[in-house]
Amino acid sequence: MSQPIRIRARAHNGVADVTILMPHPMETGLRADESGGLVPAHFITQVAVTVDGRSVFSARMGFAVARDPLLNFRFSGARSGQILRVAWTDSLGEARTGEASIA
Amino acid sequence: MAACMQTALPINRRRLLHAAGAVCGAIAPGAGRSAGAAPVPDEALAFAARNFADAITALGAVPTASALITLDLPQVAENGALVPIAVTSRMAGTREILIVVDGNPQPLAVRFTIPDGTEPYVATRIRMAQSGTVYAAVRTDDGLYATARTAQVTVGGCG
Repeated sequence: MSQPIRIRARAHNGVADVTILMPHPMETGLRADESGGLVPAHFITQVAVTVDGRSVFSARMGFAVARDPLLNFRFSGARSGQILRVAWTDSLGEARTGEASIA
Repeated sequence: MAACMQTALPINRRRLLHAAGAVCGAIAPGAGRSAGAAPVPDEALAFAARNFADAITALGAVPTASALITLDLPQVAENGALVPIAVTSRMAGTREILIVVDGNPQPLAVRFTIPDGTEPYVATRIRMAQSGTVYAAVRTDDGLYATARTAQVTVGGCG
């Protein structure tokens, strides 16, 4: 099981600044391991960020996003105390969600 | 076709013109952007593309160069496995931000959807297999626009 999603969200004058770190190997499928074989591709393909059911950000990723994908974005209409929800799925069908309260 | 050439990005012109030929052959002659013709972008095809021209073709339009897109990228990336990048659009009606890396085995790195109320800005970290050009593309209601920057990569990040 992967490590939890790390989320930092702060609202200022109604605008939330959100930083998300999703621990994930993001294997390209092109990397050789010690024995010379290729490590199978394994990378996050979809990320969805919602607040109270409203989509505030989403991404469709390829394997050229670096290991442990980091995202920073801003959205308006945010209030302190709202719950920000992050969900990812990867190329092997694994999924993970995380939540944080907007500070 | 001539319109495509005039609106193609100046950087890496040859590659874009190659893509322009493919796209313009498929839509109305003279249409330099997707306005009116509205070719449907094929996301799966764009991610499946293994060279730059195929990726651009799959995005549905040859991007028009725009000074209203800011691409922050280090000029020298010592580690191609971890290249910080930020894209800011000042174009009205920005719906998507895409990052395309010429020279990567999978050129389309990521596509961000920007809903109403979300600023047309994103920062993330990408991989670069080799030195080359990175394109920040923005899809608005009336077309696809892009700006480009080059980065020198000391150690490639895809192998």
